[in-house]
Amino acid sequence: MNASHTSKKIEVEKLLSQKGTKYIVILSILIVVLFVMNLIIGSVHIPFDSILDILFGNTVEKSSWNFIILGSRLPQAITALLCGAALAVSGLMLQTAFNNPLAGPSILGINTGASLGVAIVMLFLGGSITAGIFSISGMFAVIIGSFIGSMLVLGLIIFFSTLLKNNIMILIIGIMISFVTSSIISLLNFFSTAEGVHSYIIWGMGNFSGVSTEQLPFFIISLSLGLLISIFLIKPLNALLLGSRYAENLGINITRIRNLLLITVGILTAVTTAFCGPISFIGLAVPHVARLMIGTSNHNILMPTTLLCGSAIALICNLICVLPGETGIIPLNAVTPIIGAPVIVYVIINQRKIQYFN
Amino acid sequence: MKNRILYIIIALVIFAFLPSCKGGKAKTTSSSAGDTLKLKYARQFSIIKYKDYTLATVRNPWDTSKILETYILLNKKHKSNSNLPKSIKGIKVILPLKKTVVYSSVHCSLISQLGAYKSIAGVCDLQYIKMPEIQESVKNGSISDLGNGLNPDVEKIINLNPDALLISPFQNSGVNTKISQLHIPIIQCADYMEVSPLARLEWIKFYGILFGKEKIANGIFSRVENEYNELKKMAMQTKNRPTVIGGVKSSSAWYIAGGQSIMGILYKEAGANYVFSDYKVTGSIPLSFETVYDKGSEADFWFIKYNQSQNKTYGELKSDYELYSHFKAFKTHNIYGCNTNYTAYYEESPYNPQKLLKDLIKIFHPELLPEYKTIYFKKLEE
Amino acid sequence: MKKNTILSAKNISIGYTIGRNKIKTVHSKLSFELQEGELISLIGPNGAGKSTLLRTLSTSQALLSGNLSFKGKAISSYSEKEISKNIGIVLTDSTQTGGLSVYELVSLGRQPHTGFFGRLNNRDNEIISEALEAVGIDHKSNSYMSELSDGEKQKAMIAKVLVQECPLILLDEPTAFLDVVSRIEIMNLLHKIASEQNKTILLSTHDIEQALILSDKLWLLSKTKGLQCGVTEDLILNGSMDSLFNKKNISFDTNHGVYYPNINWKKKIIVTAANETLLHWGINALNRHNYACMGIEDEDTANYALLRISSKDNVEILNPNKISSNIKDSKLQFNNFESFLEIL
Repeated sequence: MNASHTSKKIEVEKLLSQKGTKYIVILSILIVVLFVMNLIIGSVHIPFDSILDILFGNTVEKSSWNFIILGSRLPQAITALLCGAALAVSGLMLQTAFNNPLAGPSILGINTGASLGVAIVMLFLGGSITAGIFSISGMFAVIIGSFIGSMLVLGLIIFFSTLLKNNIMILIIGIMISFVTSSIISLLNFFSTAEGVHSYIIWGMGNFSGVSTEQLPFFIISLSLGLLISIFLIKPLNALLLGSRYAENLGINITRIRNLLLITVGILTAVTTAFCGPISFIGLAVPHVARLMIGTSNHNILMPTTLLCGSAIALICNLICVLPGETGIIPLNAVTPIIGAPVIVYVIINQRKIQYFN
Repeated sequence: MKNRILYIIIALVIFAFLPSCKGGKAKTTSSSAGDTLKLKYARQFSIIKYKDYTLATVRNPWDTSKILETYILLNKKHKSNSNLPKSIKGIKVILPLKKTVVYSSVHCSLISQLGAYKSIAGVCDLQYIKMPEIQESVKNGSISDLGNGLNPDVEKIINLNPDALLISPFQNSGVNTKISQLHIPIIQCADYMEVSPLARLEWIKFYGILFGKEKIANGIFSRVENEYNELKKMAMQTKNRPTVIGGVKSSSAWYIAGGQSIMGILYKEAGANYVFSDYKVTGSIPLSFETVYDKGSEADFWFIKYNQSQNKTYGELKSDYELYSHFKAFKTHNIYGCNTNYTAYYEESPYNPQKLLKDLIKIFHPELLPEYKTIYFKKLEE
Repeated sequence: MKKNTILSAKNISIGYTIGRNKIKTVHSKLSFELQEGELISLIGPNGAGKSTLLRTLSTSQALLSGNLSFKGKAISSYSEKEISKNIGIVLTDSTQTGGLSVYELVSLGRQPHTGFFGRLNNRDNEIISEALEAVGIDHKSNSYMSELSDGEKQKAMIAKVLVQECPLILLDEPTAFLDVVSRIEIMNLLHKIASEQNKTILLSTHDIEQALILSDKLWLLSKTKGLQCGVTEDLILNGSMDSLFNKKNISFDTNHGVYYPNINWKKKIIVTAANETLLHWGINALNRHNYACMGIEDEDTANYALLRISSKDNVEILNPNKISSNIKDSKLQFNNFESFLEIL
């Protein structure tokens, strides 16, 4: 080893670490700022010093404000933070594993499976699930229905994944499952009451306010678990960039990794959809935003960046939803395409200039 | 000088004719023999009686400056059109209606009240109709089940050969071209768009004329109107005004009925203070939970309409959304629910607003109606 | 110097399964050995089973029957991790690596040796830098893979397999689609790696030229004859190259080490030239124009035209009327091939 050799090595290392940590630091700060903004800004105007008082445990003049900040805005901000991260990471893993830049959590049909579960509970069972003396109703029934629906579809996908080696086949199975479940949902809607259909449609618009403070621990733990597993998948994902044959040669057990990946994506998507309804575009667009930002496909940096970007964008969407203030709110799925669609269009038009497409 | 006067006269003549140029499919000639029916509350329809025919116009509910439809109502003996002025344009309807297709359960209930039950030949959305007689008639075949109101069985309708279809305008906007080709008069029932309970009730006069039960209709109208106004007077005399909110959170939106909606008006006339009365709309607005909580957490009463196989309970509400339990109405157990799966709320209340008002008054000011038991809204179970 | 055997096969069958139960055997009863420090080229017609053989050796495809042992142990007893540290592959597969820098791509080869996140320590970085230098693309280590030429991309893939530190490297047509400069560079590189780093390199190729120059051994694989292994020169000189491609209109030029199409000759001509080079290229041109060439000793010169190539600017035809009866001269002279070929 000569001097030029080691100095070049150090140069390269520095470059790599700079590329990564710069963005991670910026995004982390942004997330903190957005999180605070989500507490400050809402439909009801609450003065800043009152917010500080509430956060520090002091009492304020209007006790309703206490509940609004701690009971409504805080869980909502946490939900947005985790949902954004979960969906973005799911999208990234699917895009890499299936070598498809247009893959997103909805492509495997898991979202539609969840929607079917909800449709069955809302439209067919009349809003409650009863088994003997045990009965759950209302929002909780919807959550359970959604979860069961996504898990069933996930099970189907994994079953086919062990049979089929070809990735494209699995994507096609996912799309077919989507179509079939969609048509069953149409059928249920057709024969249902006006209120049922209305409720179902409203559920389909997505919202971050569906997690109560009691359900928050489960929500946080399950999504954090999924995100943690995703972090451990960074190394195999990088290997998968080379294609399955090279990845195999690097010691990756393709079937095992793919199954683990599908389960992780499944859980992240199922939990998110169960509590927040099907949220569009974040899983599809955020990985592209991250790649364009940091200019690399290396998952060592890309995964954490995507995660943080997802949180940031979800928090931004949440803010946009409450813009009308006291006069109303905008549904979530009307806001996410505003950010998501331009990104996708930009990526498609500039395909040739973008390195990771070539 | 002469020219200027000429121009002024021309301008005045043009101005005089402008109003009759605006909107509308039909020109109504104000013949001196026309007798306009005086309507106290309703704005969406008008009736003018002539010697040989009656002209009924229904306004466009989305643009009330325009006429949606004009009907030329002819009695059987005036079927010969010889006396009809050529300039009258409208849909000819031969009265009284004997074989109608009724799309909405509201009108089924009303027609039955008018004593014209036998004129119902076909219904839609059977699953929404609570009247046991209708269910029975469909079973024994005297009334046809035509399926989904937005997409009814056209062949069956043709087979019935009805003399009119009673459709709500929003259903009509998706109406089948086949049905419009049938040349069966389509009666646009825009009654649901009236802005007050009594205005909506006044449509009974229109339906009364259509079914040949004008006298009965007028009688019902006067009776109900009186009862309603008596109740209202009674409620308005109370000193306290309990506060009230309504609805539930559905996903991210809590749909709140506007201050000028039917419910908003009813709350006011039952002697309560509707928390959202300053939202001056006749429809519903989606508000965030925060806004509703901020304004309504201290409301005394809370009304919820829902459709479930089992009645809602406080426990269920809490598991739906935990923060509901922080509302005063929840804590004091003053939530009233109406399970439309079991009560004929949607069917009956449009043409029996006094019953609904009575329910509300009983709840807000129980001392005024000590023996009365509420029909629609009952206290939520534990 | 006797070399160690790294891979040995006894009576193996290779092939694949179709559907659930049917097995298609591509080759059976193959036996061979691979030694350390050698570059072996696997040559054969398309469809001969070269890729199947390579896939079976890299354990990507299952062995149908027989014994395959690596470093003395049955290959089936190795775990995935162990295989990844012992057998490396280079393919022509397309990848999603356009957005990675060359350094990042090559560092992927260290995965079998690194921990959970693939973190690189100093030793890893050293190995990577060395490999980049060895293949000659260290000046591009910060460029995106998508910015490289095909030849450079291939070199990057080779660098990647180098840092995997495998004693056996298998390459499936590594020089396909490359220009001649890249082809030679890469073959040279592989040869250097094999001899200097004592690795075993087996590659399938259609570049016969370079294979014959730089390979220590040849493996000739065909559907009809199975596998023939041997030192390059032995196989050339014992005529194995002739029968490799079982086609009547292709022949192997043992002198020059190339395959050429057999001529459909219509006429004959006698050729003589001042040296070997001129003779060779003269015959080349004449064959192309469907002339069979004879030596001056062979036939009587009276019945045929005689071509005498003295230098590249001096070509004479004697008895040109034998070529075409229109020509009246008894001797024609040209100062380049272009003008003389116009006569034919």
